[in-house]
Parts: sequence; C-alpha cells; structure tokens
Amino acid sequence: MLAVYAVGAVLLLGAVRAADGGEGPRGPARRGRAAVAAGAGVHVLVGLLGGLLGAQPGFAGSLSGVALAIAVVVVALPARLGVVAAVLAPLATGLQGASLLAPERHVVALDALDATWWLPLHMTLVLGAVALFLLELSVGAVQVVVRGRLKRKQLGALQRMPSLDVLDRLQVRALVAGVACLGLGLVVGSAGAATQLEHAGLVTDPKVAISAGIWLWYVIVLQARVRRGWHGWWGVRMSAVGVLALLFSWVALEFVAGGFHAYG
Amino acid sequence: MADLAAGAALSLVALGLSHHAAPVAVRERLAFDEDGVRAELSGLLGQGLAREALLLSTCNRVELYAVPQPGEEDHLRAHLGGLRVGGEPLSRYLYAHRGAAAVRHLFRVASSLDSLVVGEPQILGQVKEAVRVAASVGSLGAVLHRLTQRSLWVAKLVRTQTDIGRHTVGVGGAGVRLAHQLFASLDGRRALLVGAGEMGQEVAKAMVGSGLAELLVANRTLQRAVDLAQAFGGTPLPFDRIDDYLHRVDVVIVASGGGRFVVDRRQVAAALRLRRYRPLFLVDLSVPRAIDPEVDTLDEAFLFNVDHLVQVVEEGRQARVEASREAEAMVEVEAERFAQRLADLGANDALGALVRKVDALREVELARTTDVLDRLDPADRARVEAMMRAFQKRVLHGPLASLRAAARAGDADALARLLEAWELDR
Repeated sequence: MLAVYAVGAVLLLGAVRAADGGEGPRGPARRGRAAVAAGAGVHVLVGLLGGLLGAQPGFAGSLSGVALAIAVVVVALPARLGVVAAVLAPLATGLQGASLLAPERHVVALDALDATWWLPLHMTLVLGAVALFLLELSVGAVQVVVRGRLKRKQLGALQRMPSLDVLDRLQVRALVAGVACLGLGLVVGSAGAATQLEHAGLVTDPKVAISAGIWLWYVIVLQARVRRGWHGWWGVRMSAVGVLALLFSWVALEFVAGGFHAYG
Repeated sequence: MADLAAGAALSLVALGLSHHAAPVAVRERLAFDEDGVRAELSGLLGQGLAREALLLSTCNRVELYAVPQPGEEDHLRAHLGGLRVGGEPLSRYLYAHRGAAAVRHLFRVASSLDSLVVGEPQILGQVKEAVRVAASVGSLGAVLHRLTQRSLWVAKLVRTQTDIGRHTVGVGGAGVRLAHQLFASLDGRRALLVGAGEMGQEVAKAMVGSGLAELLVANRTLQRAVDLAQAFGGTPLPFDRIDDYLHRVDVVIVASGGGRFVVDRRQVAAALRLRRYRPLFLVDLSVPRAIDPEVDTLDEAFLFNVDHLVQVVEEGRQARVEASREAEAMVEVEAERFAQRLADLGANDALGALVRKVDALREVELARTTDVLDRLDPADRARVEAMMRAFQKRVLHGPLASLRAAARAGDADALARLLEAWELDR
C-alpha cells in the first residue's frame, strides 16, 4: 500500500513538470491518481479487515486514517488542480509510512466503554477534519506560490498552475468542511462518551479543550477570509497556526497529558 | 471495364495559391463565394476535366483538390492557371502537388500548419464547409471523400494531441490568458476600459469574446466613449467617474495617452477595500504608462503592462513553433499511411478486375470442354477444376505483385502499362 502511494506521489510530482499537466490518456497525472486510488482501495480493505478482527483504535491507526482521507481527496481533486494533488500525495505517503513506524498505543479509556456506535463516527469526522485542514494549508501554500509568480511576472511558469480564484474557492470549501467536521466530531465524541461516563470531566479534558480551541480558531480564520479578505500569506500563516495546534493535540498531547484520550 | 481507381488515387492533385506567394490583392480577387464554388465545381465536372473536385476558398488561400479525368491533368492546370486576376494570369502564383504530396498538403492545411497564424482554429471549419459544398454539388467521389474525412480526423488529432492551439499569439489573447491566471473564467466578470488605444480595444474585444458580463468604457471625450461602448456592446462612462466604478469591476484596461497616471495607488487601495480584497486585474497598455506602477505593491492588485503582454505573445509563439514540429511529424506519418491506403484501394480495384477477367476466361474454357468433363467422375472433375485454379493463381502471381508494387510506388505509368497489357485500362 505504501509503495503504491509512493508511486502515485512520484508520478503526480512528475506530472507538474509535463507540458500538458500530465493529463494525456497515458499521462503521469492520470496514472498517478490511478495509483493513489488503488492504494486507497487496498487501504479501505485493510481497515475493514482490522475492524472485523477487533483492532483497537490507536495512534498508528489515526496516522493511517488521515493518510487515507488525504488519498481520497487526491483522487477526488479535478485535473486542473493537479499541482495540489502533487503536494498532498507525498503527504499521504509520509503519513502512511509514519503509521508503520509509530508505536502501537491505544486509548486506555476506551477499554471501559462500549464505543460501538459513536466511536467510528467520531474518529471519521475528526480525522477527516485533520485531512481537510491539511488540504486547506496545502492549497494556501500553492496560492502563495502562484501569487509570488504573478507579482514577479514569471509568466511562463504559470502555465500549468490553477488560477487564483479556483484555489481560493477550494481553500474556503476545505475550511468550511473542516470546521463542520471538527465541530460535529466534537459533538458526537462528547455525546457518545458522556452517556457512559459517570463524571462530567469532558470539559476539562485537555484534548477536548484544545480541540474546541482549534475549532474556534478556524472559525476566526474563516471569518477573516470572508469578511476581511485575508488571502495569501496572511491566510497561510493563520492556517499554519491551526495545523500546528492540531499536530500538537494529535501527536504530542495524548502521550504527555492525562484525560480520556491518553494512550496506555 | 471496372472503374479502376488506381489511376484516380495516384493522379490526385492539389492546385492552388496561398498567402505564401500570392499577395492579398490577388487572393481577394480570386476568392470564390459559395455560389462561385458550386459553379466552378459543376463546370469542372461538366467539362470533363475532373471526375472528383473540392474547392477551398478562404481569405488566405484558394485551392482545388481534384482527381482529373485520365489525360486531363494538364488541361485542369491550364484552366486554373489561365484564370486572370486584374489582367494578370495566375500561373505565376500557382503551386501543384500530386499524389502523396497532395494528401500531405491537405492534411497540413486542415491542421493549420500552413496557415498565416499557425494553430488558428478557423481553417478546420473552412475545410468542413468546403466539403459540405462539394458534397452538395456531388463532386466528392471515393478518393476525395476518404481524403477529406481523413484530413478532418488528422486535424482534430493534431489539435488534441499537441499544444498547437493552446498558445495565444495576439495581444488580445495574451490579455485574456493573463486574466485567466486570476479568474478561471471571465463569465460574469466586469471590466473597465479607459482610453481608446488600439491595443486596449484589442484586449477588451478578446475579453468580451471570452464571456465578460459587462464592459464599461471611459474616455476623456465622452462621445468617443459612447462610440466605443456601442462598438463593444458596453456602457459608456464619464471620465471623472472612474473612481466610483473601480471597485465594481474585476478587470481594468487602460490605453490612454496624456503622460500622467489615470489610475493611482490610492484609488486602487480604496477600491480593494470596498471589494473586500477580491483580486483586481489591471492592464496598462499606455506608453508612457497611465497606471502608477506602485499599484502592483498592493497585495490583491495584479498589474501588467505592454511588455508583459508581449512576453506572453512571444512565449506563445515559441510554444507554437515547438508544437508545430510535433504536429508536422504526426501529419507526415498520417499522410504516408493514408497515401498507402489510397494506393492499396486503387490497386485492389485493379487487382479485382484482373482476377475477375481471368476467372471469366477460365469459366469460358471450362464451358468449352463440358462434354469431356461431364464424362469424368465427380472426384476427377474436381481435380481438373482445382488444377486450373492453381494454374491461374501461379500465372497471376507475378502480375498481381507488380500491380501492387506499382500502386504503392505511385508509379502511374507502370500501372497503366500493366493494365493495358491485360486490356484492363478501357
């Protein structure tokens, strides 16, 4: 699976250099997307098999889940956004590779809970939100490159780049979808856990608290974009802060802090 | 005897003149309208000069593709060369291609490789129109029908498989292409044209053609703005009200003289605030410049000048040159393949006629010996008939191979001699 993702990423990166964007019938972009789609298909099957065999959700699984969500985005992106796909595909490959190296740690609190109905939904929404925020940041980075080239009048280099308004629309859509997914994920997780927990410690749980803060930050980012027109570098900086907070919450927090999300 | 298309396929000619050699004064006088094309084609067929004909008449070329009646090629050429344009005979401008070269020429023409502006898309429609008119007159036969259909197919192949049609060449197209770096589409966008400079008009015209929702036109002389707006289907605007409209448009094109800035940084900054920092595309085609270059330091203002448009035009030209090399190679391959098919088609008819003739001779000889053959038992009779067929096959092997080779080599004389020897040519 990792090898297939890697092949897809190499082909998509190569396609950015091709004169026609690699979109010919046998072009590298098409073959790259096909490879990523094949990888995602295998990924889903492996995930379903793991679920049937009773695998516990844990840190490595969450890395793999985000890799899968990004792979799905790569496949779904239209051809004219090939350069964004070329940024995301290596990210999916890297995350999948990291999931193989990451320690197999699972959330201890789940042992005492019957999490059959809400946990898969909670995890899908939250991991989906992470993928969408990574997409938003990647599109922002591409937008900064396009803007820079327009300002420097490097007109030949722009031929294979998507136009600014296409990137802008995709960025806003990723942001809106990410905010919605994270918000719903928080609600579903809190509601599901609250029905089975004896004490109401959810609000003070570090992971829940910082996730709510991240959600609020992204709502501000969205407002700033729509109301104040903060595109370009400003938008990317704000998104980068959000993604860094997400990474801290996702990778570091669960290892060092206690609470319901702590790894055993 | 059968209509032997072998000769027809090989005698295909393309006669004509084009922008390469004939000046516009000659081309415009010779140009045919649709009725003229019909009359000329009917005349060629009626006078017995051609068995098939197609006339392509555009502002850059007048070309006749024809399959002449046997022995009439020189008359056909004389007919065209003898046409006089303003007292001057056409023969000095006329070129002629024959057989495979004629096939290649039509493929190049339809693929826009022989056009004044290489890669322009109009020629494909013009070839289609010429085919339609010729079909309505009934002047397309087996050779020209196949040839024209194949040339349209090759032209589409060249357009889809190479970048020949992708790169703009004109200033107007360059402006649209730059605008597309900001906006995926100009549909629903509004633009403001300030001044009446020629390049500004060209860019505005190209943008209107690309789907602009509205074009506002401002000029120091209001009447000139009214006239221009009328020409482009836009809305005239008093020159002193530019500020009021700057935030309502997505594109600003300035082509105004006067030597002072018509649009400055303060105005654009105010407009950007009002449009909530949605990007603004500005093109300054004035020399000296009429948009303050400092405007480009604003984050959401993207200012381009005439040098940038020229740069896009030049990059497009170079890209077209590269794409046309690729296209030429494709045309070469397809032309060779088609000429081969055409030769095979002709040869097949001749081969068929030869085989049929020998078949008929064999049947006659068998009929003559019916009383002898009837005395044989069925097995022996079958053996005799098989022997005759085998003999026929061995005898024909040499002539058939020579016919096919002559057709493939485009050797019409050798073909004619072979056909004559077998009394198949008339």
